[in-house]
Amino acid sequence: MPDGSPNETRCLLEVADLSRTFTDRRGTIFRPTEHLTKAVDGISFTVESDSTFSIIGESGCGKSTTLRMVLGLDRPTTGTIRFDGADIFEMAPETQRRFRRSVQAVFQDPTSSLSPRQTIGAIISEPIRANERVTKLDLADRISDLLSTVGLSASLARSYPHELSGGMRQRVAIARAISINPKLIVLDEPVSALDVSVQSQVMNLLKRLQRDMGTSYLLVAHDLASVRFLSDHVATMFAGRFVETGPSENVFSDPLHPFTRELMDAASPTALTPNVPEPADAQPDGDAAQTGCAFRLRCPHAFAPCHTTTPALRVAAPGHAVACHLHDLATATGSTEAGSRK
Amino acid sequence: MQETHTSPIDDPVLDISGLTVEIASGGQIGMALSDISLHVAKGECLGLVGESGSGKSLTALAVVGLLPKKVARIVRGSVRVDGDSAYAEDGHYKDGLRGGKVAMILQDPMSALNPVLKIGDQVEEAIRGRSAMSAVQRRDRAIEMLDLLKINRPAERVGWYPHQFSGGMRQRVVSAAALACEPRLLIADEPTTALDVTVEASFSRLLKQLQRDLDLSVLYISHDFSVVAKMCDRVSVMYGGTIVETGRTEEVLRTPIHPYTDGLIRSIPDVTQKVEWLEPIDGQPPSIFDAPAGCPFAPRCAHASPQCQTDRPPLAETPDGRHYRCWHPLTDNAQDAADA
Repeated sequence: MPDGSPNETRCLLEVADLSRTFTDRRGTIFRPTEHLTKAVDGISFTVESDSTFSIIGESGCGKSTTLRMVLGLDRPTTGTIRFDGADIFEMAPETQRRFRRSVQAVFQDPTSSLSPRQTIGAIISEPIRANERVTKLDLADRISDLLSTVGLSASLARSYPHELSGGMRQRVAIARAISINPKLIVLDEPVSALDVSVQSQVMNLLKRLQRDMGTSYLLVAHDLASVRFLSDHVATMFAGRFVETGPSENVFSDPLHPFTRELMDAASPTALTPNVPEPADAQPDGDAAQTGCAFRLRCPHAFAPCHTTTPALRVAAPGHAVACHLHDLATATGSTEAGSRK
Repeated sequence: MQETHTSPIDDPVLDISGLTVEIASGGQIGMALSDISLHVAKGECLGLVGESGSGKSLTALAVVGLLPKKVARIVRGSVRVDGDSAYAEDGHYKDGLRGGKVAMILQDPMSALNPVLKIGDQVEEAIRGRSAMSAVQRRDRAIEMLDLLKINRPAERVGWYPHQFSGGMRQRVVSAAALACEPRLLIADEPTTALDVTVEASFSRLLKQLQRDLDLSVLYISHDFSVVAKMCDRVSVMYGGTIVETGRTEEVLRTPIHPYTDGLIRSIPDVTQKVEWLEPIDGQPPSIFDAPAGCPFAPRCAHASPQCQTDRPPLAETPDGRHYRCWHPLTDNAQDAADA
């Protein structure tokens, strides 16, 4: 599927054909009907060591569901997630413990992700205490090291989260995530809850930590500028599917899918462009997403095949794949494989 | 918007002068707003940019008379809407001003709407009691407003409930209610922050178009310079409870005078290019309860001098009508004015 380029870098996380379908009951209690929502629909990607893979998309596109599954908090309907070669849902208890040590998360809102009743020192050291045997003295050293690594004063170890500002709290959340040297950190909108002047501080911190520690990031964000700053690889997600994947610079300098372009236009600091068609209300669910391209209702370039066949991800440039019939036309000179996976 | 460069324009729709607000919390008293002056001309969109705690929302609340009475107190200054003071002698907000000449839309449209009332009723509620319309006329007006906000099939949708709409559509419903009473001044407090980027773009476009079509005056509050750049004719930058700089949006963005504005603009990553490192402003915004004696930005400012630590910079004006509060302004333009 998307870039299976056999690079020299080691593949840390391997997600293959991942789907998650939610069932909710509608109708009356006498005549219940089941309604299926495909939150994530057959996505595949890999996160390599010492690199950042980012997923961009609108709310409701399936980004967070994907992250939950990678963290092992939700089970996929179909598909596999392999970490260091082992399926995370089929692990022996010992391997699973190692997996949990290797993957940490930083969430959007540091106010709700830090316990208000623990001191900063206790919060940061919790992963260490849960996973290692350390003396109190060593622990205190590690805590002050971690605090200085994220640019906080060691004296804060005895403070409580409410005494800190939002930016400082997010630094604490990052210190907790790096405390046991994880291989992968899942970042769910890590700066969007912070003040503008503090966002760039935290983004620089994340980049510096990656350079120094070689941690991989799986980043979900809606702020494209921060994604471009941090990412090596990017996937654009729409209605549960990847519509474009590729090296970050290729995607940002030459976005191929109309949806990626729409996101870029919306984020670029130019004047209002009044000739862009209005995005339709919400994302299509159910029927609209079943047949044809899910984006067709909003797409300024939609044409006949968009209504009947779902475009598959196809490589349009080296490492750069897009799921769009426009590019099928452009690339396939004789429409070699016009069918889609239905 | 207009050619007027001098600050007291003929008849501003909103004129705030020297507004100073105190906040009491936990036995401490802090100056949440100190000496805020701004004006919004007819048909103009003024942006108010700042980080959380800078006082931008408090300024908005003072304009609509919704300052939390128990903790906030207007110490000095005036708020005038259409030339008339918004507050009576005894400090009471004038009846009928909010929801009449002044309307407001907020960040989170879901909490602004009542989940158990049909949206038609909620748009109608804004006009009920304000005009002698019959029930049928009111319903027609509600449909007309939804149509104005580009909500498809308005005649059918008036009977829908808020949960049946997406976030962007809810914000349109809220805006329909806000504009139903034909306000002179619309206060938009981070109206697109809770929305997706693409939805934000379409909502901003719509709001800009309506502002032009209806010749509406807008006070647009945001933490996001890129949104303000698209929406606003002029912008005031707030920091630590004061307005540090005011000017035409493109000029402020191109040649910021105040070091804070400059730092804020520099710290925003650019989608259009890849950079190796960002240039953040070091440090944290001040708390109003231990605000510096001098310039509120002095502790984080690379240009700060001893004077900045002790003396509040006064409001200064450049020859081309930009205003700022800084002892060490950045542009030559402003430097000349300071020397003069």
